[in-house]
Amino acid sequence: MWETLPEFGTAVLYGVLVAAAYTFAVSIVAAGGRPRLLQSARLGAYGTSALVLLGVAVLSYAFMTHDFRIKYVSGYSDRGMGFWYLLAALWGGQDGSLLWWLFLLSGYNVACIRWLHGRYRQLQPYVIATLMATVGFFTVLMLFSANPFEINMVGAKVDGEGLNPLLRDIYMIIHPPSLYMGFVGCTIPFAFAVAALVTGRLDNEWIVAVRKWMLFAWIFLTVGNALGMLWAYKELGWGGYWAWDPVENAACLPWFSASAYVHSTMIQERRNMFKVWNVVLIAITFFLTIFGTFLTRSGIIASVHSFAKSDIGIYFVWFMVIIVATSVALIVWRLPMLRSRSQIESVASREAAFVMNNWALLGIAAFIAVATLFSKISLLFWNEEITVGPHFFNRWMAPMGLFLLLLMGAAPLLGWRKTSNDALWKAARMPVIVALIVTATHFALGSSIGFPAIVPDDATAGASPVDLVMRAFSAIAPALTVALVAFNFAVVFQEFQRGIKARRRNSNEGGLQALLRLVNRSRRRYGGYLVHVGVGLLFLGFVGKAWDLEKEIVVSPGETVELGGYSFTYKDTKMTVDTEKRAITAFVEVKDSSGLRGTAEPAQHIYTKGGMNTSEVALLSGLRDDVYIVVGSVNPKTKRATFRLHVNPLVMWIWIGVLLMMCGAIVSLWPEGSWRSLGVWGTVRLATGTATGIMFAILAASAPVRALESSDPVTAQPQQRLNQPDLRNAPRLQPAPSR
Amino acid sequence: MSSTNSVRLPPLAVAVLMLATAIASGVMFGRGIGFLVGAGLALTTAIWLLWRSIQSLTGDAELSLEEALGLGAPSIEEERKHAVLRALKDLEFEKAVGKISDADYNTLVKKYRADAKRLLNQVDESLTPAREKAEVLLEQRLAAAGIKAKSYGSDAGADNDNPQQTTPADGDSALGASLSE
Repeated sequence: MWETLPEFGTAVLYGVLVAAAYTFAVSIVAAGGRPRLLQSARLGAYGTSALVLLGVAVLSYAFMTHDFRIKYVSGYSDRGMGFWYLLAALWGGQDGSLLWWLFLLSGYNVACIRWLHGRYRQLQPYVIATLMATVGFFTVLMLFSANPFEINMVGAKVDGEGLNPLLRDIYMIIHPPSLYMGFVGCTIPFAFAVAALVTGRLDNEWIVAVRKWMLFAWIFLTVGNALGMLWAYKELGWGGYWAWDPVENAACLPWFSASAYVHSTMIQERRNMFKVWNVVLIAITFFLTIFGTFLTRSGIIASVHSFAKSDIGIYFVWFMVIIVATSVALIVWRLPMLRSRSQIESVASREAAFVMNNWALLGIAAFIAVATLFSKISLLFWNEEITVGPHFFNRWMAPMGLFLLLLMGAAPLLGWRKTSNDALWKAARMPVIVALIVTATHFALGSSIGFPAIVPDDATAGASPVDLVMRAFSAIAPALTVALVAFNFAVVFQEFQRGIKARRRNSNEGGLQALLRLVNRSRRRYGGYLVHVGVGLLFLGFVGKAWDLEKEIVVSPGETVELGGYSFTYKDTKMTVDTEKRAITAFVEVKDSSGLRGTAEPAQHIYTKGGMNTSEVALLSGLRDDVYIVVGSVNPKTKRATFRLHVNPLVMWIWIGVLLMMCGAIVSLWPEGSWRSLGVWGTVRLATGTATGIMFAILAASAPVRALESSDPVTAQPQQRLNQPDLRNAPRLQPAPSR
Repeated sequence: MSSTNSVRLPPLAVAVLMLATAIASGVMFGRGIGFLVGAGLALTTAIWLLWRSIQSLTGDAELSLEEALGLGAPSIEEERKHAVLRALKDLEFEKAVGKISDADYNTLVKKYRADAKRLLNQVDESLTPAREKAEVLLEQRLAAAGIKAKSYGSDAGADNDNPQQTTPADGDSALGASLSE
């Protein structure tokens, strides 16, 4: 039996395909209104999921027992790796990550079908059929292009090649699963949309339910992307957290369309409008998750995140064609039923604001997608490969992002159908005054505290009208951002205040009690406002980039350098050697006006096998600034060393903002009713949301991690598995003006 | 539906038990064995589920009460009723915080209340045959147990003048005895 374990694994995949096909067929027949067949389809779906679990368990067993007969196991693990890295290696490469995707999809399928128990009976068969079709696609992909159980042609190796050193990090254990949970979760709303379109059950009730599934996936898209940012910030050593890498861009695309959907669906509930928008947004979101994974895996765009190039792309292309064709056909067929009789009556209305929101979010997603693929587009049209870099993205994303921030603040001030000028002024008065006061204060005091309101943009060259306008906009962007963030905070504060006041008018509740009951009664609304505050903090963190400082120095031990109000004293360097690498660790004392901030220990790791170098960043985080130090070369005799020093303001607020976004989304998702009525899915949602929140909170709080050796003390044999250009000299997001 | 005396664990409890078994095996005999045990349990579960699915397809399997209830679902009117009630709740809130004008509020609340009334009547009408059937079955059951049932239908007014007296304890034990048959 042991000799055929790889074959057994492959047989399991064939079993999954057969079970998924069987369940698909039974579901379609069950749609004819035969309850027994529906029960059969449900059980078939559960059975298919159990088979996927079997496949994952077999592959995990192969990793744990170092079964190097299997090519994937030998390619991504070695005998020295500990348990968690062996487990993380499951999704470390192309083939295993597809199985992992299928595993998460199966988990979602079980949860969704269980939740459907007694609900939307007419939709159930088509929901199950769509989910099984997706399972079938991924299984075919693995069987014919990326089989994780493929055996080594040369036979079992003595030891494996191990995981890339850059991937030996706690983020490898949590970032891909979080992001995949977000991607995969978008399949459920798509299945519902297909079912609703096929059956013609386009009432508003299923939209309410689907919104919760999309919000659940949205939480993981947010957390997954944020963890990726944290990882890049901590690991890559170039001082930034987002490089507009193609795969990073692809990962955030569905976040934009999902965000548009969770807002747009409210209009359908209230005004029975935007039905077409909503089904289109659901289809686009699902499409973008597949598109994103296609970009990552096909190798058509070079990226540090890409898997090794393979022939897997064509399968994804066909699947995307099927998704688009099916979605378009169904929507066009049901267009008469989707069209709304109501219309937008005024620009100054909540409905109009949500339409603009939809267009803005989709527009941003489209811009990012086109810019990411521009090298291929330019090759197609002009026979020349033109790649756009981070500066291009930052230049155009700033105005679009600020427009979104403005909309986010203005929409809650508007009423349904129309808002009179008086009502609008009454609602907007306080937030506008707050924004003006904050702006005036910023202009008056900003420079003295190191955050000037106007920051000239030296990076944008050119004298064309567009360049001049963009340069001017870029200069005032910091002031605009701070003003709009203050505006948004004031709007949210006012909403809470109004709600509490309304409650206390009819009751004797104290302020805190009224607040808690207010949130409890309208979780979706106030959870959403918390998310808005989180987004505001995110923008505050992003704007810090306008004030960051960077300096490259060459110093000897004992020398001190000043930068941005900090003094950096290079103390010493130490070299340690273990079985896997040589580590050169520098010790730099960092002081600010109040005394010792901390001792930073940036390091260089030179791995024995493969000769790969990694930079271990030293990071001292604070609410105001992050001090970020990278060590370059060190003269072994004189210990004269090269350092790159960064002072990155307000970065911590990004992680706090993400945490608040998560909390707000969890409040929105919180099941209504008593604990007893929570049920299985309510408990799972609650537990998952809480666990994710705690995990992210711990990670964000522990972001100031000093450069340490990997906690895994065992021998490793790293080898370049991914495309890994040296990012130590990668372009930064924005130039650093001197203070 | 067949009656059964066996204890049926909820599916979540079964899944947790299986996970615990795999973890315990891993702790006692090594991680590899833990995953192997997990794989074995997953395989057994898959075979059982797929077999039950095929049995259900061919009509060989009996439908349990839980499964039968699961095949039922709220009617369209019931689902719409929830949506209307939710809209009414949102509307009251928006009125309280001054986000909607009085004229719009009056128009919308009238519309939603009319919708809610219509839907509640439709739901009631659709349930009436089943409710009447259930009452008849219950009366028969109670009569067999020697308890005279109180009528809550159209004769409620007449019955209220002469309420039927039952001894709660006797009634309960008789009813309990009849349900355990």
